[in-house]
Amino acid sequence: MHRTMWPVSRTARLMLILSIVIILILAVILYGRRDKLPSLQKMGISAPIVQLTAVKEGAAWKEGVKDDEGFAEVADNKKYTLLLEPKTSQISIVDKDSNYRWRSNPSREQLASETVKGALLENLKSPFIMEIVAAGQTRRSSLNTQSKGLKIDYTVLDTTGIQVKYSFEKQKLSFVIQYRLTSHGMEAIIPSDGIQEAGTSLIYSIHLLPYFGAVSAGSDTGYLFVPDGPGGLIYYDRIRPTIGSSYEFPIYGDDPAKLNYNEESMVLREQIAFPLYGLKRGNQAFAAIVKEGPYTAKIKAATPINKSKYHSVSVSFNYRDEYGRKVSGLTKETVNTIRQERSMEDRRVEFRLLSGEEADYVGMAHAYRDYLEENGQLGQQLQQANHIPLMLSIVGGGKKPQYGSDSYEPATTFNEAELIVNGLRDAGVASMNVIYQGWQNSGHTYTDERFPVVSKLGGNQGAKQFVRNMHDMGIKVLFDDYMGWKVADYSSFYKKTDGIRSIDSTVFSGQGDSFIVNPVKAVREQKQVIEALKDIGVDGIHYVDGPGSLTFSDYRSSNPLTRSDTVFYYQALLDYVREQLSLAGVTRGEQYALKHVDYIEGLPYSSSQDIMIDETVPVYPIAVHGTVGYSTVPGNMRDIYEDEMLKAIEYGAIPSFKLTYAESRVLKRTDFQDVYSSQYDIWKDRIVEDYKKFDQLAAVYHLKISNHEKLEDGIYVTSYEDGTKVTVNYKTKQFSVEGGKAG
Amino acid sequence: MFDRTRHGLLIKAFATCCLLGLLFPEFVSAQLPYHTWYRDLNSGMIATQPIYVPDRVIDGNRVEGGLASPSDVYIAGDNHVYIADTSNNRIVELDEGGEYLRSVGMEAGPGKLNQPEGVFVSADGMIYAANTGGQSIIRYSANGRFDREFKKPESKVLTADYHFLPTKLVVDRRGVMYIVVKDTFLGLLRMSPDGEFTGFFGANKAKLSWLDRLKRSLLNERQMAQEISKQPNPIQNVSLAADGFLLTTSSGLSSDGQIKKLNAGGFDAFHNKAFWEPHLVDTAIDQNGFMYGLNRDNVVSISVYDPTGEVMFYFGSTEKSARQLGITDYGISIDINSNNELWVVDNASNLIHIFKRTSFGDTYMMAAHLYFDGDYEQSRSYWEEVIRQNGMLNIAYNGLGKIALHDRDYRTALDYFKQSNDSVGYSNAFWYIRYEWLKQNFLYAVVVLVIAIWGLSFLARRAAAFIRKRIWPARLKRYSSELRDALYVMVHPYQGFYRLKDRNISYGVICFLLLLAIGIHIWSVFASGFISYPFELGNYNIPRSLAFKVVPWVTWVIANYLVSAVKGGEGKFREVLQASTFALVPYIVITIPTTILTNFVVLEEWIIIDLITRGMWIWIIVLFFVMTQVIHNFDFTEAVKNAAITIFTIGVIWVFVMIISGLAYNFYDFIEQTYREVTYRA
Repeated sequence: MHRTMWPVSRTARLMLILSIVIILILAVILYGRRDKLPSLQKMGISAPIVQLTAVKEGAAWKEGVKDDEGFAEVADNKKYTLLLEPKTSQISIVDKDSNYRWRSNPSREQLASETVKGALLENLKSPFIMEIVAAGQTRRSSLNTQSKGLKIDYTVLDTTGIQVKYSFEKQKLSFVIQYRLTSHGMEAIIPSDGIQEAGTSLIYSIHLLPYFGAVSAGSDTGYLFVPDGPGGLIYYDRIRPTIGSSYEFPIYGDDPAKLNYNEESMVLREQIAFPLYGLKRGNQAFAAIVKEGPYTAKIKAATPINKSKYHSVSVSFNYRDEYGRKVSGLTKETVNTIRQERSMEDRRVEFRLLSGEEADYVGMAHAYRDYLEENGQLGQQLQQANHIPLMLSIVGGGKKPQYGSDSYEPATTFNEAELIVNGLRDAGVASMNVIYQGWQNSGHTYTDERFPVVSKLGGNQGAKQFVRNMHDMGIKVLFDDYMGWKVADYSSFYKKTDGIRSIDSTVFSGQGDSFIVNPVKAVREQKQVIEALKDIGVDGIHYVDGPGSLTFSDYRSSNPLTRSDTVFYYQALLDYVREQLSLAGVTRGEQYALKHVDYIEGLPYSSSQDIMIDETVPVYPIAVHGTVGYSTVPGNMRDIYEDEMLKAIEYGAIPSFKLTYAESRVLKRTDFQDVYSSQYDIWKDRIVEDYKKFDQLAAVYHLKISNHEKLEDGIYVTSYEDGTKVTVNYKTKQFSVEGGKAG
Repeated sequence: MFDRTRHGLLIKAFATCCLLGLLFPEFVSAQLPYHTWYRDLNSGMIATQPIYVPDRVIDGNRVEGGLASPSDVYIAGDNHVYIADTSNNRIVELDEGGEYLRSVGMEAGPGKLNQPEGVFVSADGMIYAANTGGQSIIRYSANGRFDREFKKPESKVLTADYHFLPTKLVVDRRGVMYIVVKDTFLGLLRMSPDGEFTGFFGANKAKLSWLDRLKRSLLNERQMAQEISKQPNPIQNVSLAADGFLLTTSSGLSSDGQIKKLNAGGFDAFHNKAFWEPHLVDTAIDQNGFMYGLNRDNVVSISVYDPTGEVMFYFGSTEKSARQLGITDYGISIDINSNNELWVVDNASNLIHIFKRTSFGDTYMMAAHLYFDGDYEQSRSYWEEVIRQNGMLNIAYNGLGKIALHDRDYRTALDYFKQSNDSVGYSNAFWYIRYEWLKQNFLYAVVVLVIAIWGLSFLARRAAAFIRKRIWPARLKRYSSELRDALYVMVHPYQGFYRLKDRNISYGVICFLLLLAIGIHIWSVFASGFISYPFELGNYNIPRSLAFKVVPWVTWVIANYLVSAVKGGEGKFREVLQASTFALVPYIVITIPTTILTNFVVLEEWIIIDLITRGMWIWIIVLFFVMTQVIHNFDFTEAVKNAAITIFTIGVIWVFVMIISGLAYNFYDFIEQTYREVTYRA
């Protein structure tokens, strides 16, 4: 009996046909969803290479002569001497010029008057505070140098420093801190390779040098510096309310994938944009830069009201994260869990010691700028400008629900955009560049259905003509785009396969149908975008979201990404954009983006309005001015018109406006609904007036800020390296420019 | 109960909706720690520029001894600020800028305060303190010297278990005190200047759900006594408006009237209106009658109401252990001074937040003031300025519409009212336009109408004759006769449905009628006049509105067939289907003219539309009933029974479907979570 391939019974035949059809359909779907994006190789981008700091073996340190407090010399260079107290592993650095001694912990005499006891007192004596958890549990306990069963080994690092190895015998846990003297001070490193977890105890976080330079209440004048907004100062001599007296925030904000932000909280704040903190006491100060591991770090500042009598500021590194694991898709209930895998990155902080004139926030800003320059993280100096370039954002329009479906409502066609530009030029705006928004085919923001350009605006042809006409006038045109967040309805990416995974391994989901797209895929997709925009003739891309403002991890099982990987790919993309088109712009412009962009929209300029932060200072603007053009809020979106204009002038920003040709009401119910007043006719005169004011600063556009000071309440002076002084008076709402070429 | 959940979620749902537009930049940056929301006339909330910005806090540093659990703030006519500094047992007076002036009630003796939670200063400068811990009201003269203490008044009404724990108070021009007493539902305690009890005032009434009403009508007195009694919201706070009205604020959902504006007779100018903010704790009122409510909601903390009690703006936010300017932890009291600065007391953080009005806020509030005063002419320039600064706000267009109406520029007015989704204004403007049109064109209109009617009937006759003369394919003939029967059913239900018995109407005609009904429904949405749908049509959810009509119809067909089959009805499924389809014909026939009519009627005449629509639905229901009777050959009582059981069955089917889908989702979730758990542990 031979068997036929074709079954005899009718049902069997039907089943066979049905299964073939299903397989075919699946195949078609899978084929349709295949990876069609260009590869990274074609863009010349290769995967990041991780270089970990080596842990030194052998050669135990032989302690030399000890001083009265038990410190022995470890290393020495022209300017500083590094000392260590072998019993407690406390360190101190002596500035040879001034003979000033920085300590990792309060001295013994100071501690004698301390009132706290127990763990808090122990912490004061330790150069680190480590939080550990038992595997499978979430209860955290802390360890420090006073903990029982601790063995400390010292190893010499060439002639520049020392390696301290802490082994907790009971917990079967060890890690290493390396201290190295540098020409500006000291570096402290926690190498990833130095961490050993042999038992069930796991490291949750390490708070590094929590009391370095700590100032006890009433002992000294000065302030703590925290990177809130453009920079914030916490003075020692204020009497504070008990609330909000400590500061603890993650650098670059929370990682959305870690699900560690409070969904309930409706309160807004500025996320930290640069990994710098500092402290000033008397005429000494330090600026500390988190060089490696900022993506898992928190800046902590404390005032004497909480925990101890000290003002201190420091960094704490997370090695694991706690998160709420959802137990059901039906309820919001979660079980708190700690992720087992440890973060495998080195942590490195550089302390730059400042004294005398430089020992203030301007000095910290300069130290930070020097650091960025030395490490190639800052862009080239800008070209000298005859006139300040106005950054003009033009909103094309957007889709709004209309008669049951939605339709595109144009607010500014390409022809009208030209009218705006010509009108402003004729009225005296001598230099400007244009960012065109709302051109994407889907008619929505946070989209990646882009081409062809919306036909109601003029389509691809209209765009080409517009760009050509702009080029004739020497105006550069950027188109805006979105890299991170997507709304599933307007995205060609699939949320489930292309969206990032959150720490609990589920597909990450924002409100509604939004998600964040895997950065590698987003970068690869940009190649197509760049090619299409190149064809139109556009000079660059301005990323409203993604590079410069959003860093996140992707916990997918194959090829997971850390935040630093994401940053790496974003940087590579920005470079690629500049290579292919010439200009790249970002929003906020967090530190990692600085070298890779030509324009920053909305550089952090406002504080989070924390009650504990006494003064907001332009440390970040001081560090970047002259290397990249940046704006604050668009002029037509200011909360308090004159004050925010003065602030932009004080902080050396360029003017920017966000306009439409039609009345702003046209944008109602589109994604640009928050642009509540943008009509060109209404704003034209004020733009020209504003521009003339900003243009007085054209001569310093490419220069460094050399000083910034408060003359009295409401009056501030910003000085530039050529001697120009810009005095801003918030009381009279006036400002003046003196000296230098501009004066 | 349904009501309650709805209320509780309102603000949150609101804000979440609006946040969607702003969702992504949320994580990034902030100029202010909160958003300002504008509540649009009829079209939800939108984010705008701030009308108030946090200006500064008073942290007690400059106040001798600091502040400890401050509970109340009162701003007197000279802008001096009085604070009930509860845990410091005193009243603190600050000047306009917040500089410390003096403390009252600290001296030992009869004027020594004990945990005062409220303060009021009368026009003649007398300081009244609600001395909560001491269970009394203490009055001080303007120089701070003790004047008189008022203990719990003697009255039969005030029994021994009525604890006199005064927390807030106001004093009217005659010196009568209105006192908020802790933990009582009886309302404000009214005390004469001599300290005599003169009755309770302004108590809230518990809101009864339909379940409570049912219980009340069914249960006897003893059973009722066992039920947990429904308590209304206790009054939290009271303020005095410039025009002598008392403003009470209550928190919670067990009664309406969270804010009441009471006259001396206890009459509420807001008619016990339900407010959308269930966590209100205090209300301040400015010279122009605008109110500022303080919430303990984490989405918003301050709501700004127009003089009629409608919300215009929300701003601020609440957070546990708040740390930012303008963010409160446990807001407890709010007041406004003559410079329109808002002073908000945070009881938990011992701070007073001061909010300053922005220039946009000034312009807007001025425009709104003139608008509510009816001074349209004056308000024009303000509204124009508001539009320059924010083109998204409907009320500005509404204001301009009213001005245009006043100027007899009806077409402009019509356009403005349409833009601001105001059906009343639109209807008014339209009335004038129609009136003027009729005045000019009445004769023409009549002539045209007559000619049109004559022409149409002539054409119809010619067409009928033409059709009769020709020979048509059998199929087409059948369809047309079936359609004629459908129309016949409308007016002769019994005979019409009888014709359908034992006869198969072609599926083509059934489908045609069903699709026509759906099509007409959709068409009516777009073709109706503005007054029918006075909002952005884009927001109208067509699939859902269709579902509300289609789903009941489908379940009716199924249920009717099932029930009749069991109860011995004759009808086959197909008969039920075709009869149910024919019963829809009135909808098709009547919706068309009413939809056209809605374009020509004003609100006052809207009753015509309502009557026609209601009549149509009754007609359809009658048809369904007759259909049941005829198709299944029931007598009248049988048909009534059958219809009732069908309706019950429809309910059962729905519940069943809901349960099944719920269980299916649960099962799916169980599988998915098990998988995740396994992969997590692995």
